[in-house]
Amino acid sequence: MALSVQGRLGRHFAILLALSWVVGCQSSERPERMVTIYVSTDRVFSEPVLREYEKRTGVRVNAVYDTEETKSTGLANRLLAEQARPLADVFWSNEPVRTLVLKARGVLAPYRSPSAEGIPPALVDPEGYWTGFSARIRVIAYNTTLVKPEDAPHSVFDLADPKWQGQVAMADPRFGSTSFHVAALYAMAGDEKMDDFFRRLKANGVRIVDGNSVVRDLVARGEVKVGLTDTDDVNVAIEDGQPVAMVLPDATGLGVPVMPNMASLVANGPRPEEGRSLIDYLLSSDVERQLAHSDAVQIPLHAGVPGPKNIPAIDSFEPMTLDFTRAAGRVEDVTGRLAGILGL
Amino acid sequence: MNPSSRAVVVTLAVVVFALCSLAPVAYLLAVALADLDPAGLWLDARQRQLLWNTGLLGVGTATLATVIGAPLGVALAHVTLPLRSFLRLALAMPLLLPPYVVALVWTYLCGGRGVIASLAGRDVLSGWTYSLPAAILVLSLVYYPLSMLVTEVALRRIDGRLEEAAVVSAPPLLVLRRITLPLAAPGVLAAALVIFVLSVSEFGVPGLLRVRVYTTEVFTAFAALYDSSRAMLLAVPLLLVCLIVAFVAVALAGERLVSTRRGHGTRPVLLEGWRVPAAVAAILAVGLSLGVPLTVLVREALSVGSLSAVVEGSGRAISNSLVLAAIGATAVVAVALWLGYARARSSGCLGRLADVLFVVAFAVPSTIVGVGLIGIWNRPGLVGTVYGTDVMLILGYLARFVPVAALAIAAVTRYVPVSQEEAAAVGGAGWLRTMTRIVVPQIRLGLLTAWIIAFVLAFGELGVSILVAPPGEATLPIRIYTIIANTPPSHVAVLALLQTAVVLSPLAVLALALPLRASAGARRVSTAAGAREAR
Amino acid sequence: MRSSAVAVRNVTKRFASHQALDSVTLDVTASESVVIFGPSGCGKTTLLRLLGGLDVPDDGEIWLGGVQVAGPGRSLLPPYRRRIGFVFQDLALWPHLTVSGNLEFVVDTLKVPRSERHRRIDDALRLVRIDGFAARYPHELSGGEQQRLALARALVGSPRLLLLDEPLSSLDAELRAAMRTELARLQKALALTTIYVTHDREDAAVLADRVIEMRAGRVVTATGTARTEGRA
Repeated sequence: MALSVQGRLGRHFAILLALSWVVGCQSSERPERMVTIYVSTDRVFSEPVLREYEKRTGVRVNAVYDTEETKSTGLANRLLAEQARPLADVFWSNEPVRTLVLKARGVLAPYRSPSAEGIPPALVDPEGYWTGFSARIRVIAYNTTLVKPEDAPHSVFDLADPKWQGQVAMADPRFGSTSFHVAALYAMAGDEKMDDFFRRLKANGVRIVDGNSVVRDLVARGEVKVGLTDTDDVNVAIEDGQPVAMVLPDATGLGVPVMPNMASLVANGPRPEEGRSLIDYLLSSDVERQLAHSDAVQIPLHAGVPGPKNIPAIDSFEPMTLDFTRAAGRVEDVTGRLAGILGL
Repeated sequence: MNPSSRAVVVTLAVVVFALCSLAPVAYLLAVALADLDPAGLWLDARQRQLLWNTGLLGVGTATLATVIGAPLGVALAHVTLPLRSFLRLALAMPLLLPPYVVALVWTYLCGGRGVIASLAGRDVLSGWTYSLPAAILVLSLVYYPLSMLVTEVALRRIDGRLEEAAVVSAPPLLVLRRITLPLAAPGVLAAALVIFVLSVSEFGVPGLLRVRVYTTEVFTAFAALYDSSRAMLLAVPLLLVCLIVAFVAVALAGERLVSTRRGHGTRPVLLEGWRVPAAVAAILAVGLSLGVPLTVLVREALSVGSLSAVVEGSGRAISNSLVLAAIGATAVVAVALWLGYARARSSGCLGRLADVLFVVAFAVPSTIVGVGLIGIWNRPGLVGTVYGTDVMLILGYLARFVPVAALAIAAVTRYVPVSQEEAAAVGGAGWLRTMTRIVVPQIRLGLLTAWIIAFVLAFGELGVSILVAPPGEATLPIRIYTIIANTPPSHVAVLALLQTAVVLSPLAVLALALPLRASAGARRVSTAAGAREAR
Repeated sequence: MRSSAVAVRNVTKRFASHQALDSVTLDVTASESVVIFGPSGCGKTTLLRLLGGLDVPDDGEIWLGGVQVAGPGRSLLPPYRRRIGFVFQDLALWPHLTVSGNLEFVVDTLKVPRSERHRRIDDALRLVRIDGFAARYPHELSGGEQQRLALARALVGSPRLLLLDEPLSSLDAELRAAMRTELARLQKALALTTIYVTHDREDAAVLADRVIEMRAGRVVTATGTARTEGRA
């Protein structure tokens, strides 16, 4: 009797196992050609690009998208954890810091794509571990009903002016594109000047919020007059008809903080050939055009590709001349400093 | 009697638990200790602040959620409320709202230009919008149903005779205070403990409301510094806090208090005069914890031009999520049943140690579980074939939710007298047969509850899933959280409503089926009671 | 008649389709010990619960000490005001309270000074001879000791009516006989009006001034016992 019950229980377990196997296999009924990419660029912008690639080549793209920086610990950690046996072939990052951390930790492999032809050399890794494409800019957004264009701040350093007391918002500088921006500023302007700036910014009652989109919303609603955020975030509000405009900061002086997407090959990925093909596509003018004309309003780096509306062309301003590796190398130290100074 | 089958099954469950829940932490801890000098990370001024905030968040939430939930549980058990089943369902629903979404609603409501400010004509709450009290309030509004449901179950399990014996010599409120509530106290305390652990291991709410606690610090170590060793070491104090709190709670609850027998059908009416105030309080709670968030979300969602554009393409993620959560919950209950049983049947130090272990395992931050699981499973050879499949998600659910399910199942199994198993054994039944025919049928409501809890938790799981899900379309929370990056608040509202609706649908079906069965059961009990009384 | 200690008038009670009590009438005089005797399901426990206020009669009246406490479909006096002591079949000792805690709960509702309350608890425990166990919990007592505690708890509030629902049914024969004698002793000492429900003829013979036999919800016979005759 006991045996028959054991048999029945055994069957239940078998069914359970079979069920989980079936679910497991949903993702293994794959077409011949496929490629796996981890993407930290917003899914709403990157997914159409990858779908287009599938349509053109018939290669199935298995994508893992990232959440906003403040919502999960993200793909870079997954790539690090999977390093011994990667699932991904390509990593597409929406800002430089993560890519450079992964390069430093040996997660990436070099690949010089023929499509990189025409992209400014400053935005291509001399060692070939990453190639920049379609860039965003860190901008100062301001509320047009509360601030006249001529009164808007023109440098990040203006934000510590008592004139903006309690009227400045920025995203948590330990995460995402803001962490790139502050690391770049520390690398360019030096620790002493930046520490002092953030102390004054803190004294000025800066509001540290959950993400760049929140900064934009606060500015659009007039809860603060100005904020540090990204071009794509501001564009969403402009397209929505909200009273927001942007200033490219430090056009004179340090230079405008330009932040390219970066495509990299993952070291020891399962399908390196497919990975290289996908990178070739991502770096193409077609993709830059697509990203420029979507709501992502990303600025093409290839000469001759028409730029997005609402955003100045790349050759119309002075970009920050930045050693990305040096900036990325500062992230840990800067994160610690800012946690202390801003009380994060 | 077949003692070896019992040993085999329980050992198997313990092995699965150890492999899924404990091994990832042990793995990361070993790596971290080899990597880093732990001394530098512990208890500087910043650490003390984290410890204080974390403790305050946990104790505050457990207290407030109990203050809201326990009286509602008393009302459900002892006041004949109108539409009781419906009220109970509505009161329990906030548990299905993702805490992060409720926090988001809070910021919509209370910001300097939020709904409350525009209603009041001035900014009354914005100073409190991003604060520890706000995080406590938000988490309490999500977690109070746990306290409520457990309190109601505990009260219903009290032997009605104990209350009748008191009613003949004391007025009802005194009976409630000195007999009924103390008898239900272990259950209420256990619920408070679970709420404590849930709130100190929650990341989304303190993250959004900018409260610095251990989970946000662990998160920063991952997200800003890509340093899993540091993250693991930072999680150690969090786990220690849970360890201490669990020890205290287990010591307080004690074994003596759980020896209450199964409830009788008859139960004296203790709070008859309280119908109106109890109904008002229940409606108020539903309004605040469910009505307000849903109204705000719907209001935001209605400003979206085309709902279909936002929801479009979610079909695969929804079906994946439903299937995976169902398999996950089943697997969780299948493992937790034996662990819970073993816990219920072991007394003394070993049993208490098991409780503490479950609580601490439940508190491990999800990212740590995820990174640990990758470290263990993503390797060459046979083991690695599992990695990159949906089985990893099931392992993740097992890792995170077996402990809480085991605690719940242990609690209900204690009410089945050992003598019944002994009687079955004497009657010649093997242990497995005794379990399936004698024990399991008596705790099936508890098993169902554990399944529902596991289902809801698994359905909403993000932290582990996003690390171990196979590439390609995965679960609904992953889809939602990857889509809401850079979308306007209105789209976030639509997706939050979508997630709530999807997790609600199978549960609504269950809930509609349940009252019928429960009342059928009650009828059986009451006729039995009637027959007994008629002696 | 209505000045008798307990007066039950044409009381009827139904549970679902089951007629538990069918127009029962009964009088008990002060200090009288009545044993209600009958098979399982005859309605004797229901009658006790109605007297204690734990249930409400569908029809008829219940009077205690000249005051009406229940009428058709309603209770006129809540249980805790009826001044009764109730010993349940399964004792229903509160597991989270000590022996003295079980008694404290009852005396705390009396409006007497604290020192008087302690004295009463001590007296009650001494009366049933478990005064050495005040600090123990119920599960640390033997079956007989638990029985005595249940009795002490029913007595400590100085009730005017003691209701016992098969209190000895869970004891073995030897202990049962000893407890029965003990009960008889207490009854005599306290001269308390007592209604005792049982299906055991021995109980009836030793404890009753009068035995009332019930069957299918009706009183069938009422007889005096040897004890009464001896007393008379």
